[in-house]
Amino acid sequence: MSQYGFSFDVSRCSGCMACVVACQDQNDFSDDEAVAFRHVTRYESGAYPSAQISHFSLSCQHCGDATCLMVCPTGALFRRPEDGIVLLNRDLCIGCHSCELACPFGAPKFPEDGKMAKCDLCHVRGEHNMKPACVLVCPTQALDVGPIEELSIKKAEKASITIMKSLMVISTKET
Amino acid sequence: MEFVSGLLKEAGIEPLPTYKEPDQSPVSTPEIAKQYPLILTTGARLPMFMHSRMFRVPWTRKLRPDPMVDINPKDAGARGLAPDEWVTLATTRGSIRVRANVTELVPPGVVSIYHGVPSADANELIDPDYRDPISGYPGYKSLLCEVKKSLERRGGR
Repeated sequence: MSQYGFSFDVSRCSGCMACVVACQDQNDFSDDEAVAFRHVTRYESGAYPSAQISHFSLSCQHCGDATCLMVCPTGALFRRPEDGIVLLNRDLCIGCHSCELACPFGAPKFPEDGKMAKCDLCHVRGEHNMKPACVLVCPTQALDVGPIEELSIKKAEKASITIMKSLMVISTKET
Repeated sequence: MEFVSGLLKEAGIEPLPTYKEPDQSPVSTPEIAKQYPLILTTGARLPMFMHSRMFRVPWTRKLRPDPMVDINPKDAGARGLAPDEWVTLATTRGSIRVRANVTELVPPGVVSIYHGVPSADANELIDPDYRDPISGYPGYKSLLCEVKKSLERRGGR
């Protein structure tokens, strides 16, 4: 069994939000539902004239130790053995929002019907040897998907350092 | 390729581009700048909108549902504006209601709005005769304005 996941390179992301629109398209979001399973956040650091802006595209991380799985009272959330992705059986979901409280990434969304919905790593596309919609559409190739052992460790390290730096700047601003 | 404009030369106008301070600016109209100290530029693009073309598509509209003005944290702080707060953006001609997007995208002293939003029309801010004397192009990038907290609690779409 391998664990599939997204990789994201902060230094490549231009914040164009094509991944968000691709996600809306792939998952047939209608007008009145949640925005998308993927969202883009802008982080700013420094001040004029040496301000820096970075963008951060985030969806369900399909965590190895997924907190949503642990708190789901009905077992609606489950991990698929063959690729480790976290999926949802909507028939079992009671819309209790426990997963939303537990998730550190804001991945669970709640459309009009009140039940949870989230990124399924486009597993239907994957079964047809296609990449997830957001990865396919990313013009700067900041997003990638694959077994996490194969995703470049260096790439992940570089990205997380940039994120940590941005977060530290934000937290000092807020205090 | 023509660097020196033959047409402009014929018409007795300086044939090479030269810098001229805008008709409205803190330098050329310091009196107006007292009441309207910020430089307003309009017409930058957001990635999901192309002019006003993708504006009525619900998916892309959701990424920026309300009209916003980009304003530097320094200017926003001096005016007591919180991020996403509804503000009034006024020029000598008119005013619109937008939300404050507090960002380093613009330097201090400059604010920027995106065009194509019917409820916050940049054209309402500019005098019909505020134009480039040669090309006739409106001075969309060189207006003076002021941004203030909006007294009404919500804006219209």
